[in-house]
Amino acid sequence: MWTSKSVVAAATALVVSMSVLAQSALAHDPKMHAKQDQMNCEKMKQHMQMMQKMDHSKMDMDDPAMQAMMTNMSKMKQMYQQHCVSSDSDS
Amino acid sequence: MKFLLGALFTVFVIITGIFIVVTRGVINIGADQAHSPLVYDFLETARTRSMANASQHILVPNLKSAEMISSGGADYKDMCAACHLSPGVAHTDLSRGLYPAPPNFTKADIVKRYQKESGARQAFWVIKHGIMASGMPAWGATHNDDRMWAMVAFIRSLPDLNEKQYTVLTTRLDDDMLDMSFDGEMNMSGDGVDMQH
Repeated sequence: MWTSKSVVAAATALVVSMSVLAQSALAHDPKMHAKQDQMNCEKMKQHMQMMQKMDHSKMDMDDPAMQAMMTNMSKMKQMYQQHCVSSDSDS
Repeated sequence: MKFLLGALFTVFVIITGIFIVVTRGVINIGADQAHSPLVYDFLETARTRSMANASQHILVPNLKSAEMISSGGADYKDMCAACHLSPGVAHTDLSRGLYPAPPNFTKADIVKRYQKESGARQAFWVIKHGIMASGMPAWGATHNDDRMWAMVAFIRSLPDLNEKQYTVLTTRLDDDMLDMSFDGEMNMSGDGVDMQH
């Protein structure tokens, strides 16, 4: 028969193991993001095509989220032109 | 005296009852079964009061910074979207399997509370410390405060984003994202780039 001490110990172990399991499944070194996100020209080309189809006239440019998105688009376009357009033409 | 003994006996019976129920293993802890409304409300009240109490002294930075929203987007995609969803994704295996179900941050009515200062404080606290036995991890163990505030900033904007905007805003744009096949040095400043819109 379990004692109250063993019940508390079991409950604590359960909570701790669940927390550890959840964290080990999802936690990471920040560098892991970059590995998952590594881009190549084909992927960037898809992004560029998608951006060209976006309707910017409906965006509120005073919205910081839209400003952030425009900044990201600028960076993506710059990266694509620097590293993909020239390498395409070379090949 | 009789009243006191009666009260003590009642407490003893309740504690013994709880002990027997717990040790017999009759409580179903499966995530595919809902709590009774009474238990759910009890746990929900404990959760919301705890979040409000623990976060009350946290200072909220400027969450309307475009830079902050941008950096938070990439982390959201990697760390949160699998459970809290993204535009155009109604559910995932995790969002369906977890109980209680993680809040869907693409819904304006859910994110509304985080757009207030008290809600932003609570969102930051939960991201940093997690919620015990819920599947919500404590990201503070591996991430600094700036990154977690950036996620809060992004979540507040998420309901307004469509799928394409979400894709652009959550793409990680730093040196590490580049494939090693690229040659030359990157200039990630973004200055002087002329976008045609």
